[in-house]
Amino acid sequence: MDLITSSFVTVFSPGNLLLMLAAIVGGLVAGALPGFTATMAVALLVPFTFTMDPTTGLIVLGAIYMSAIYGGSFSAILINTPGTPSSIGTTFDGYPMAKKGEGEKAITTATISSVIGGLVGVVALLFLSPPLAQIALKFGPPEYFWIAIFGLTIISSLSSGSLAKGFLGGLIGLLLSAIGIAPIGGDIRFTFGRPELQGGIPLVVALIGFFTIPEILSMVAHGHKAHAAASDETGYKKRKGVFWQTAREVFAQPGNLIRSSILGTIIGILPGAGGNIANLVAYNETKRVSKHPEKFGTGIIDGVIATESSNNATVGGGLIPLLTLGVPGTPVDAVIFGALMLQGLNPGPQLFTQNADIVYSFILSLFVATLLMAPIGILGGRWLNRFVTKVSLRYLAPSILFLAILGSYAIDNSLPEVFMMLIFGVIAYVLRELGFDAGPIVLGLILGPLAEQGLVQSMLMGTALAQPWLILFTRPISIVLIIMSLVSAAWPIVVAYRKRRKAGAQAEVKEYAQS
Amino acid sequence: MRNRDLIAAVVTLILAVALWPQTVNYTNFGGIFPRTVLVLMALLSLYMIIARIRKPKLEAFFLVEHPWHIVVVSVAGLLWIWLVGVLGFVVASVIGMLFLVWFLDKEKRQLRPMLTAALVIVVEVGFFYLFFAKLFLVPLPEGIFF
Repeated sequence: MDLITSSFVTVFSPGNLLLMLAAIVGGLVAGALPGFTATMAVALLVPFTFTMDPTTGLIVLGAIYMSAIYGGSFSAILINTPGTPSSIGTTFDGYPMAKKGEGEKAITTATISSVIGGLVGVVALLFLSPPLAQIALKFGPPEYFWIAIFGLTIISSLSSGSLAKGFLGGLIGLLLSAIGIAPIGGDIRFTFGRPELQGGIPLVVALIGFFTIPEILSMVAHGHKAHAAASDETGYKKRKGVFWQTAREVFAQPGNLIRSSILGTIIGILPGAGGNIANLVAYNETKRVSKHPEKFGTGIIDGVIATESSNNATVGGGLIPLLTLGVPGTPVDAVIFGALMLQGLNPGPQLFTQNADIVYSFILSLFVATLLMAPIGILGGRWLNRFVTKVSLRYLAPSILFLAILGSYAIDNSLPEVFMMLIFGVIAYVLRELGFDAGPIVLGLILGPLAEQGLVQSMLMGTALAQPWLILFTRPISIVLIIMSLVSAAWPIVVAYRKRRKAGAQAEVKEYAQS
Repeated sequence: MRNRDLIAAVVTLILAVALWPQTVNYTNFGGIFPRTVLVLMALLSLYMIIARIRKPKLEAFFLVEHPWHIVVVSVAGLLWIWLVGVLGFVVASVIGMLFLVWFLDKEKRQLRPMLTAALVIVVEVGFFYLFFAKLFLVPLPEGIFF
């Protein structure tokens, strides 16, 4: 009880609250800027927290982390560019909503969902840390391989047209992920003698290229029609009561909110898998159980709820192995790990006993920061939406290209990566015209390293067996993941079969009635 | 209207076949993943080719109002990035954006609208330059200017 009281006093002190607010605003801006990831925002802030006491430093880092993940939804919704890799899925329905003149509704949906997801993750962090961390420890290379395969089955949801083409897109992404030095074996692959490709394709650079450049080219190729948000018919109109109406619609989907938040928390706990995978898995699951899967991708709130609640839930989830075991689950958690060490704190089981006051103040501050995100995000998002929808195409297209160049440079301060971004973008435009969606390609790029490492390390582990690959099929968690992958892959075929049967039955009834 | 899926599948099949020779010298552990991906890509492409030859699906593609805009904006983007290394981030971005603003709206190519555009662009580039270079300490390219 004393611990809770002292945590409240620490978090709600005026100085800490003020710093938290500033961090939330900073995180939202950083998250909304393409190329400026949550990891970069937190890493940049670490030096400023040296001089602060450990609790204040962690409060600031936690607030900026949570809000940067949420901030990524702004650019995903308004300009079809995920601000962070955690918002890739938000572009699928958020941007079509903005194109229909529902940008404010999409941002409100993202805000409410992010808050709910964030809170679920923090609650899990507070109450379920030790058992969940123990389960995560049972995951080895074969399990990670099957997680990647399960992730790849999402392609069936992400491909808007032909399923085979969706899988071909996924394979293009996997191929792109193989560029550079092999994780085991050390071979230099598909670099064509270019040393700048040896490090592989930076994910954020590819994301900016694949999502932003085709949109710019489409805008300039189709003239004002492509930038529907700027047209008179669907552009921004001041509407009253958008927040409350949207809130009612979001809370009318409790199943979606809870399922996606739990999925985000679980995926956040697994080291190596973070918001970038969680948002796509949640989108897939929501589409799979939806009564109207055909409407996904056309601009409905269901998809935005799924992606935004799951990615913010990974924040709390990712901190579980970090604080309880000292294992950072995501790159941002690794930066926070460093910040904790610099403050003289050792992440691990003893953290909860030796520095309980700091840990509980940190967890409480995450809770408060998540709630404070809502009013700041709603106001900021509303303003941004008005701004973007009023800007004419002649300014919008060059401005987005400018942000794309700036963002892709800021990742590694490398001009070749900016060239890479633009070339990827032009290729992505051609692929889009050929019917390849960016979603499956990017999914392949994200899951490629996880799949390859899982596969190769499993083969190494299995050398004692008669056939090394048997190790992939002998562990209990692997079997569960295999079943999940099979169900997920077979689901679209089952749905299509059911639809055909239903249509056939209806046609028979019609025929019978006519006769 | 063309058989878009067929063209797409031929492109991916060519990609898979063209990249295969590179994987021949890879070690077992370094090559297993790309080889598997290339084989799957070739098989899936072949399946699509056969499926679309047997049952063609004609779809429109590259049907745009201003095809030249795509070429000009892509080339201008490449030049803009090259100029960033030569003239510096700020100067190259102002030139790049000003050119695109001029190019994208033929009706407003007079002096006055262009001067307004230049002012807006300088403020925008300056804001982000200060934000990234001074606040976040990202070392933006300086080139021959700053």
